[in-house]
Amino acid sequence: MPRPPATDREGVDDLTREFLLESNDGLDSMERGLNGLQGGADNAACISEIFRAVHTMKGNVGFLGFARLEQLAHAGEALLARLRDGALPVSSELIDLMMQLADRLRRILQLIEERGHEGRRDIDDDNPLIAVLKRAASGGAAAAVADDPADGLREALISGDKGRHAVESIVRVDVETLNRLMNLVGELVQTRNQFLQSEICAETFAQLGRRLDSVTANLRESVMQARMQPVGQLFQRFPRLARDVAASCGKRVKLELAGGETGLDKSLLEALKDPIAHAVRNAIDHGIELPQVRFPMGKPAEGRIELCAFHEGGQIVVEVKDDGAGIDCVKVVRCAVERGLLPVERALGMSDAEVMELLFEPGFSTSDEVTMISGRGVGMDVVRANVERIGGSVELLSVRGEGTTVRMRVPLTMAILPALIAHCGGQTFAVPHSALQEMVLVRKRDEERLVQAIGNTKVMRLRDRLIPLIDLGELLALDSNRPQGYYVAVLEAKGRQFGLIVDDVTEPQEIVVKPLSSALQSLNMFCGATILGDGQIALILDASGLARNGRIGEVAEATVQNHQHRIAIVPPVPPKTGEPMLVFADRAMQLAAVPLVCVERIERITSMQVEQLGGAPVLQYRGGLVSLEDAGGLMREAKHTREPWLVLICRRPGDTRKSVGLVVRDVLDVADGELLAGSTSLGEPVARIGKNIAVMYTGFVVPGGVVAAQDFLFQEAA
Amino acid sequence: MMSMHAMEQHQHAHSLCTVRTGNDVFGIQSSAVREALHQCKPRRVPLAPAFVAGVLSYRGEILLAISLRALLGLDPRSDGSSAVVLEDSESGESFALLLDELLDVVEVDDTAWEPNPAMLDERRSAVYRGIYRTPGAPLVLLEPRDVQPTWLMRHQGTALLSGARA
Repeated sequence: MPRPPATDREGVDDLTREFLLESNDGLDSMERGLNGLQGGADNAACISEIFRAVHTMKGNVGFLGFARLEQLAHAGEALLARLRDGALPVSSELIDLMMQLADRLRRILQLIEERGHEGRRDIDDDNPLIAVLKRAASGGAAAAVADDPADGLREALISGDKGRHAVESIVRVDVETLNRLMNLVGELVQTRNQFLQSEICAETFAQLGRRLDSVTANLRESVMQARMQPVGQLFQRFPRLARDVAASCGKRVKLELAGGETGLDKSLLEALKDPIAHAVRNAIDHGIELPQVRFPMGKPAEGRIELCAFHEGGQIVVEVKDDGAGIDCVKVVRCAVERGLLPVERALGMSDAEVMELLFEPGFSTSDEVTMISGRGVGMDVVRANVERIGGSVELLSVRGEGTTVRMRVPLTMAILPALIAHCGGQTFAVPHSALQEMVLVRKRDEERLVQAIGNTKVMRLRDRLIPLIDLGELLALDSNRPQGYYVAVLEAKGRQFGLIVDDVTEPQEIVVKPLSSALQSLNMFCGATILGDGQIALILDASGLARNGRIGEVAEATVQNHQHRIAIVPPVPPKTGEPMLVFADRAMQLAAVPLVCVERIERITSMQVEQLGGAPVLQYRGGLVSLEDAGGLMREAKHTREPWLVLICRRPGDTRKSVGLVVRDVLDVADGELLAGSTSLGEPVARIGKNIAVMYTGFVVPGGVVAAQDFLFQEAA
Repeated sequence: MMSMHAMEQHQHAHSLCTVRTGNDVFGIQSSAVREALHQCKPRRVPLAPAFVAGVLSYRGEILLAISLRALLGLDPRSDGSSAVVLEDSESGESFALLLDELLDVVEVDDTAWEPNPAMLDERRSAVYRGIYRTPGAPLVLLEPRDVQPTWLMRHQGTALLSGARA
């Protein structure tokens, strides 16, 4: 993104720089106040905040000799004083006027920073604005000045910047934090002196060591805190931007902020500013519909944009989520073809995800005309480039008619996060809490009951679910010895749950994330390293990388892709369905399968446990009755043996109350299956699983597709 | 591949930090050495390529430790506990190079420099930047950028990585 050249920055003396910093802060609080007024917050408090800001600026500017600023601030102050005293009512015209004043002041500050003077061009004439301010103060019409109402806005939009250069290299630190740092340093010096004076075998030596330890820990923490800034600081700048952009598009938008307390390193914060501004602009211009369009659709006339930040999977995620129209894939493809960015033959059969990728192409725009806000073809590609520069990534998620989410992930270099310390094969690892859902201790004697092998995958029963397991020791080729049992950390990555087997865990710690050399990034297993309290280095595990390497993610991704519908400009293709199936043998020479989501548990029972009820076999199971289905006639065949049978406790889609037990010969595998069009002579559906064909049990398949996990409970039984 | 460049860089006498690994004595430009470490035990990184001895904590940073023994095809298990922290001037990346022994700082003159002997094996000629004649044992010139992790990853990574995984 082009930035105004920082010419003679050195020409600005310290005093002026100080003034710029302070004034920019003042304008921030002025905008906060104005946003508050707009949103109907406590008027008196907001007005006095704005008044204070303008008043301080006027006071400071006096001895620096910036005439323009002084005159503007003076006129503004006069108007604000009337508002504060209640002599004038707050109106939206006045708020607009005040915003205009704030813009003008900020632009002048920017000029001062760049050029060292306030600007001497013809368009730098403040008299019209001052005149309106004066008129408004005396109760006259407060119509906004006609000169260049959008000039400041346009500059801000194009550069995505509001004269913040002086601030970028400066971290504001709470005086209290600074005092604490100073105290700690004092204590450090004192401890050192005592060390120097004491003999190595002195009695106090151990005590001094402990003191040094605690001082260092405190010092480290305080310095860290000084570097970390809440994301909220950055977020506060956007309600104003949203308001301005919305006004110029004739839309009504409310920007909601969440997760502002998430700590992020100062440098990352600055780097995220432009991408977020871009995403917010896009959301308003392209996403949110005009009020007259929204209303008939049953949406509130006022569009909602949510700007939120949170930790996830060892990264910080910043989302800009709107409730607008969503992305029209057909239109995107058409535009791309028209603009020659995409050959027609490639356009056929693109998936949604591929279409979304088009939006990241340089020069792509769906806007029919170039507006002030967007359509210049500088868009998502810039956002992506900016975020990738700091080692992050950008995703676009969109549901037609419901909205679009721009999700930016940034590494949390320098970030602090709580993590569990796990041990495996004599090495220490950190598992970020954000990915961790629960811990399960598997004792040796319980192992057989809790953990089973299906094909070459291990699964664990966790309450009513089966979750796949990854053995960290095996994955990382470590020697692990677990005579007593082990722990399973239940993790979630990319929406999939899986268990990670580790030897042992110790207490959770707040860890400081250090980047690993880029040479190790291709391993895709670790997202950083940290130095533990005892000086040991622990590698931080990357849950999604583990899932990928442990082949958990593959299944999930394949499923997602297969579920995606194809876009509508191609001739209708039969929907591709695929999902994990539990493959088993029920009679000789035939494979059978049920969708994995339907399987609750796998039980081993003996013939003694089977009872008859109304001529049908049933099983007493967890305080209820489960009717047994024996399609392969296994029970008859093995009636008199003491061999246990395998029973899959399943639930038919749509039937939430009753479980059935399928008696099977052997459980073979879990693999992705695809439903075929044909059926067996008995009318049973057939699925292709890998190279094999398996019979699907009736009742587990809905005509036209396999059940998806989320609508499993609501689907009508076939 | 050596190196008009190296010639130009060191026109006259300059100081080299000398270290020993295996039977060879190496010289690294003193200005590229940030610090010499005596007692360091890198933490092993699972699945990392063979030339990565591990990571170690240095002044609050996590540095990758490269095993010079592994690069030369010697047994990395007998890595010593001495290392030099190097900074590659181009990429700005710092890393540690694990060695057998730290020796001395010596002054050498460029006129004493000779290119690698022709029959040097492939592994060594990728790392050796020519040899200085000295009164004692010959001194091998080592450039930080030839043993820098990202570079190694790109040029040797794939081959060594598969070896490590197998």
